[in-house]
Amino acid sequence: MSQINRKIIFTGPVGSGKTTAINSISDIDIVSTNKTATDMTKDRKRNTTVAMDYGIIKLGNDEKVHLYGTPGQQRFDFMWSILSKGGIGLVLLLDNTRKDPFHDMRFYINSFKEFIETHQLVIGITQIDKQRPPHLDDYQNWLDQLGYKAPIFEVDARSREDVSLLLQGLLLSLDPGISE
Amino acid sequence: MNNMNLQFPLKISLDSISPHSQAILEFFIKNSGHHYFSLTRERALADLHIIDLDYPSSKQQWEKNKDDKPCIALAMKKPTEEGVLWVAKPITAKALIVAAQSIVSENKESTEQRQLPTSEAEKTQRSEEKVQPSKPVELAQQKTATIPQRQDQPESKIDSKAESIKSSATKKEAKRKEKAEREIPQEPEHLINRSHPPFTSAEQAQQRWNLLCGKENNTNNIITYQPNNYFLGSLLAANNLSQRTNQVVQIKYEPHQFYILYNDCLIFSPLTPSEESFTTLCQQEVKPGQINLHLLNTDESNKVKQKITTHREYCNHLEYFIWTTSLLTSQGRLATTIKPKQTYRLKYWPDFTRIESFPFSMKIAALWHDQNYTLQQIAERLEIPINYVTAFADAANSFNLIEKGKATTGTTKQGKKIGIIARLFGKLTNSGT
Repeated sequence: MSQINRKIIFTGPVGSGKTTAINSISDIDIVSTNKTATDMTKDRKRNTTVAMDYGIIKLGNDEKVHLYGTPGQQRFDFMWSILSKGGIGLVLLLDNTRKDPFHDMRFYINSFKEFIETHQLVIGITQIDKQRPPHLDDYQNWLDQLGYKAPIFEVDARSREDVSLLLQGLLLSLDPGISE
Repeated sequence: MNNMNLQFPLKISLDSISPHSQAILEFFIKNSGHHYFSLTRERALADLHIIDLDYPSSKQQWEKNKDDKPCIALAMKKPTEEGVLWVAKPITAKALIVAAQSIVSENKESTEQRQLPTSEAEKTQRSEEKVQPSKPVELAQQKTATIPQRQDQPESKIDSKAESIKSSATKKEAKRKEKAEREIPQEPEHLINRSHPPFTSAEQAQQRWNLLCGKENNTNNIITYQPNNYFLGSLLAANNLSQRTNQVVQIKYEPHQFYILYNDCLIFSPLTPSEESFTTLCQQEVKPGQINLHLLNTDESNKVKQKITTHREYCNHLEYFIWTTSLLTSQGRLATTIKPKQTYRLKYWPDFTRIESFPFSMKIAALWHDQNYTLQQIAERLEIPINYVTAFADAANSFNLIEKGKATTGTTKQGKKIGIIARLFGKLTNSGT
């Protein structure tokens, strides 16, 4: 596999935990382009990613998997296709406390449609412990409506274990017979 | 700021606080926060107060009762109230500890200043500062590395003594913050039970997996069982009832009681799935009438919810509880409702971040997801003992995750051995997860 394919993309709406998730799993201090939010984003959090987040999982012998987080605001969507080039899979994080998580799911899946159809998707639902419904099976039904299949897990983006399991789900979806 | 000499643990009183915030604080103070805080019911004895500004009428209470003691204000948004230290919701252990350190540090500085001889001018200045309205102080929530900003301004020489002292104080403060960051764990604390505690040895793990999946079975001999003859049957019935009615359902199985709150995805039970006695409870057959279900009325539900706020340690994630109960009951056997020769497909993956895993469980899900296989076919394709497949099928069936499908001969998702994916998978599975 060429060097360019060693990349996993994290996407999702503002405040869904992309930066935190990359920080949880990265072997380096992540590089973030966080700025104080000035638009509607500031109602959800003080700082927001404006270009990308970047982290690394080191595999030894100088081999690395690069982790890229997209900015959440839709006005940065021109960056999404650039960042996803060469990715092996997409991690979509959805915040359960947002007004319309189904709209978020539909929007991001449509935005990354071409990528998802040729690669693999996994979905993590964040903040679900703060607010239910929707429940996990609601997300499963919504994904069915959109015509896609993917693992969907509850995720605490601060938990390395949760983010690791999410990535394991992504990799096993690519190849259930992976040997460790 | 009051004149007390504050030191850890700080005695705190909780003012106008929601049951949810109170539960989080009590859990935190009981566990990792006990070095920093202790609770007191007497407001007068407290070193500081904690108030929940999102709680109804809390602002009026604050205005009415406020004194010169420090106050931590929990709120979703930055409060307009003066003289409070803001801790943003969701509350984290880190933010509370940083707040405590900040209060003690500020108190120490002001005590030291009070002890120093001061000139009249300084006294006047301090007096003026005192009457300045104090604004709510924000606490940083998240650690992020940032791309260094370009330094367009030329560095100016710092030659005055005052600037030197200021710089030294800033550095000291930065060091203190850096130290605090290092000392505070980044991982969240889990307020409910959602998995088995970590194993201390490979033997211990294998023993647990034997309990969950039975001993390795490399034959085609599948043993069946009837879930309704066990606690599992009542648990599933109670879960359905709670889901349909949106109410709390109690399972009475003397001497134990379990409360199912489907909407909160919780089971409240002092007996947790990781205990040995729970395994015994799951594995013994029940007699007719031994287990009773009771739909709680509003008063009873409120009492249970009150108990939940004070005993978060008895809260279990619903899926974890049902999944493990199912495994401990089946031990690699198959519920009579699942036919060994029938092909099934897994409609959805189980929520692997909230269930107890066992060997090959994720691989089974990945292979079986939306693909039709018999249990034997899965075991053969993954080259694993059949008992792990029957255990998985049985537990997934408890959540209605499997359904009958037509036999297929497809080889989808097989044989893609991509080196870096295998190496990444190996790294993730060997890093304590």
